[in-house]
Amino acid sequence: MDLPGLSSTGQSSITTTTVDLRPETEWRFEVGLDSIVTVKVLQGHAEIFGTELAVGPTYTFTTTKLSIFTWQGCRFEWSGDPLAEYISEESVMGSYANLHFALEKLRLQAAEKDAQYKKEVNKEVDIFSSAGQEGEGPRVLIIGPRNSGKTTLAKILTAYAVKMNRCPMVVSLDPKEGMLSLPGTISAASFSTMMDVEEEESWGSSATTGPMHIPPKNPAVYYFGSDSPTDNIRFYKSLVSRISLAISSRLAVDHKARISGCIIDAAGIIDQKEGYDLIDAIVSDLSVDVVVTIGNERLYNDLLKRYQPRKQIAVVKVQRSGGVVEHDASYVRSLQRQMIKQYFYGPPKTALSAFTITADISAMTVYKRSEQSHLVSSSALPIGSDETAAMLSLVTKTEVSPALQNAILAVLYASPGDTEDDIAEASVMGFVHILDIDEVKKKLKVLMPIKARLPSQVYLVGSYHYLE
Amino acid sequence: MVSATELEAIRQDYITSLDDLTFNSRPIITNLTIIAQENIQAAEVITRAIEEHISKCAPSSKLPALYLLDSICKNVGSPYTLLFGRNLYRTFTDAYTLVNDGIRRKMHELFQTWKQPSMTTGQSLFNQEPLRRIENYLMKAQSALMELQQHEHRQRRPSPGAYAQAFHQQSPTPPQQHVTPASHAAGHTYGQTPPSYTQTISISDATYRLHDSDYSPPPAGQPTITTGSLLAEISNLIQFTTEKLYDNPTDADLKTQLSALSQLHSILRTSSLPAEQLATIKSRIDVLSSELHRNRKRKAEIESLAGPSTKRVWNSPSVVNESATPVWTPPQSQPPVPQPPAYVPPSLSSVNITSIQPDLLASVVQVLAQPQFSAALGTPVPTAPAPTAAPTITDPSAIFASLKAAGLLPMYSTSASGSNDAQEKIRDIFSKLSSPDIEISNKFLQKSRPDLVALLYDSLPLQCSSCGRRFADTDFDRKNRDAHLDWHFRVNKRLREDTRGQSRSWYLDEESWIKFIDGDDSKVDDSNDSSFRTSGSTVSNKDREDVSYKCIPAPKDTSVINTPCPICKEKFKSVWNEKAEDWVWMNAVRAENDKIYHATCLQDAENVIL
Repeated sequence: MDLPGLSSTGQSSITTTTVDLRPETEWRFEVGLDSIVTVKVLQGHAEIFGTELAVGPTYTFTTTKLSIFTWQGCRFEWSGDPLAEYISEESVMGSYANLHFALEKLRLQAAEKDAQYKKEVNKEVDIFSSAGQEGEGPRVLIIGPRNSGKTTLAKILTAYAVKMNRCPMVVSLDPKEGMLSLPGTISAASFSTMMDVEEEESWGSSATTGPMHIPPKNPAVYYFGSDSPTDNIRFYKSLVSRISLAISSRLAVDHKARISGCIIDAAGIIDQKEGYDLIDAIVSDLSVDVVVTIGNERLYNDLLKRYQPRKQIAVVKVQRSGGVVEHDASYVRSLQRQMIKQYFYGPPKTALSAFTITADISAMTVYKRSEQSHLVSSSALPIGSDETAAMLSLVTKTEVSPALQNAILAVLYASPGDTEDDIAEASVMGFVHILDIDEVKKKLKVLMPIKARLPSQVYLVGSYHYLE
Repeated sequence: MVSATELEAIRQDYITSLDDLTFNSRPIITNLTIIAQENIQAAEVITRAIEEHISKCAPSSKLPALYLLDSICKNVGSPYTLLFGRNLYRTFTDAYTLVNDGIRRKMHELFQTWKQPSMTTGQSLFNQEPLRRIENYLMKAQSALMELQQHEHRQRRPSPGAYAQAFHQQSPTPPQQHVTPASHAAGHTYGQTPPSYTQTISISDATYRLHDSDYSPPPAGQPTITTGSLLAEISNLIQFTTEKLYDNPTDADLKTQLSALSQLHSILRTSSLPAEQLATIKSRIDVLSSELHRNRKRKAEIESLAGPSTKRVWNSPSVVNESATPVWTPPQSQPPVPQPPAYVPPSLSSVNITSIQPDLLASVVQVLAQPQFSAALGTPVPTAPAPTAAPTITDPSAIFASLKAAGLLPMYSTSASGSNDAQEKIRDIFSKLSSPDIEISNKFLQKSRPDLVALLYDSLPLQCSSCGRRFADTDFDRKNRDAHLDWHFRVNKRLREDTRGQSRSWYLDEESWIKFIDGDDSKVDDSNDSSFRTSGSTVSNKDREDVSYKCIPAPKDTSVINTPCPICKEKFKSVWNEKAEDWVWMNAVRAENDKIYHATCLQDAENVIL
């Protein structure tokens, strides 16, 4: 054990603390904005949300709340300036791991079924007459109130699946999270390689133009534009349908991912009627067959009543971890700022270059999400007026005005000539940041993630602004 | 003459069989040699198939492929010697750059046998020209390596931690790191040992010293044949012991025996011993071998059960029998290094015993002399990393087992390959999953089942020391591990060399994403394929990097020569490429529409989706 002040030779501010973690306990720590904590495992198995840390290398963390858990006990040292740190004896990892093993069993069965099916196909048995079917891995939906640790559970299940050489399709439907992307998005990515615990929110990083220590993940991204699905339920549902379509198309061709199944992180909307509607929509769009509820008995019982009669959907509950922290609004904001910063400039360990370009205002076609009319979304409308709702397009064109100063715009895979329907469900190519708008000269200054001309695409503006 | 379709059929068949040559197997090499002999009219396509295989296969498979080349040339001779001679320099040096030090040593030895004139004709195997160039290349490579190692060695001395960090690459300041192929080799070893910094240093020292002795010509009159046969025998013993160890994982005697054998193997491989010492070793080995032979029979029976699953059956049945014609004989009078004892444990190639240490050898021999090998732990058997990773089992059923373990094959299918011990062990762990109480239910989730955690750790004992990724201890997964370490090495090298800085890429569009298969860092990277991939506008970063180094052979057609790049309207310049021995256009790619673009222009264009 290093004693503060004794071990240091000159930099008295850097002290290292060695921690011995007993089996099945965890060390929780919080790192504030712009401060850094480094961790080095000395011996034993240590994992962060299921992803094992190597013994020896130093890991660096910033703006995050994490826990290091160990099954067999481990020793590590840390240094830096955490906002809080403590050892917790109570852990819910046992039930989370059991959930993983139960899922793994389903994957094995799916693989077996698949092999059986292939055999039949190869034998050229008439597959329509036989009971053979391609095996499909479990599709798990994780539901719980805000701040119940849904995303953490999703990470643990993903990390364990990857560890056992699976390739799960992870679907993040919580726009607040913005997995592998920016806040305001929903995204899906197949995880065939390790998660990068040092990256923002420890999912990993999307691709860059250069090599990386941990292989990048490649998400399909759709832009919702704000934190909560209730801001515009109709638009949100349409995006969920769209991403589900892309996922099923991919799983149809990607054998390994299909066997591995899906891990779906839902948004924390549970208590209104809208919330259950949303869950219904997700369950049917993504053919969910396992529903996991976290830390809410009423939610569990409601969903049990809803889905138990349909035998093919299993509903279970798990405890929420005592380590889950209420994320207050200002913390969420600083986290989101951090995500935007890291999108353009990278995490501390891999600096990325972003580029500023100047363009004509006329070169940019910007759309925004249509306002949600309360009349349209509620049942107050007379029967048969659903058509009116369908007529209203989900996105509307907007002028490039000083209001866009500092805005984050999503670059869509859609061109200005496309219909509004096409634009509304186009996937995201990337993001740009409007630095300056000069209305007199009709010029824009735009921050681009990559050195290229301003894409001649459609841009979608959401509610996010960023000031460097 | 043979028709084009027949040629293509031969080529396809040959390519398929080459895929089986992932380890050093005499039967496979013999078989492929016979096929090459019988299809001599297709020599051209077979030659090309082998050359392509050598250039594309995993680094670990390169050496067996080169042995095949060697076998064909020595046994069949012309026209293969001429055909292979044409590209020999490229074939050899390209492989050389990609393999680890252990394999490089083997390649050196192989090359030595090529240089020696044959007893009957007085000619060397190939033309002088490529041989001379390879020799120059090897000399340059060697001196560069030595220099780097000395440099590194000096640099590393004062600060052991710095090196360890450099290897781990987690340090926030990558530019000053010097990781050379030597430390790469050390990395292989490192992955199997409980990492500690002192050990790392000792390994790198070993690598360094090893090279001092390695490249000196073997002393005249060295009883190589004896050493070779001893090595083969020891290899067999190691394999046998390993298998026994799977039966009795807790047997300390077996472990001791295994580590002693491994050390003996390494000593014999890396140094020359006086004849009387060899005789002593031989007598000890013989005792052990007799036990081995008694068990062989049993093993053969087991293998005949497990056998045919991956074997390729050729159309010409006359050559299928492995023992039919022992074509693979060592060329007379040449130090027969490329005579592969059908099995060389790959993990040992990275166990670097420094130089000959008489007392070490004595202790090893002493250990072997003990009837039960029980005194071994007390004797100062040195700390060279004993292969915790058991040597490979070159048995199709092991691969099968690991495929199952990896979930690529169903676990409980009733195949006949239930004999292998490694498979048994993994199956034991996985069989926990079949217990009926494991299900998606609240009852099971509340249960305390820490025993299941073995699935996450014990079934995957091999760990990468840079990123923590785990691998099963099977032949198949060990190869994945090696490929994974190679991947780390390549990435680190690129990060060091790439000073341009990087940027966030655009995401894939929906259609590309649906078709996209995520890369795996343990699978062989085929992105060096010279054809430009246009499958997606933002293909993963490894496909995009270094586009400016892409080149195509300079077109001969004058109308094409004068066509500028459609994007920047500048003409291409022809440059003489030493390696390709041809004029090439640098920074050029041929796109799908058959037009030639500057690679960088095309990349920029793709970034904005024209």
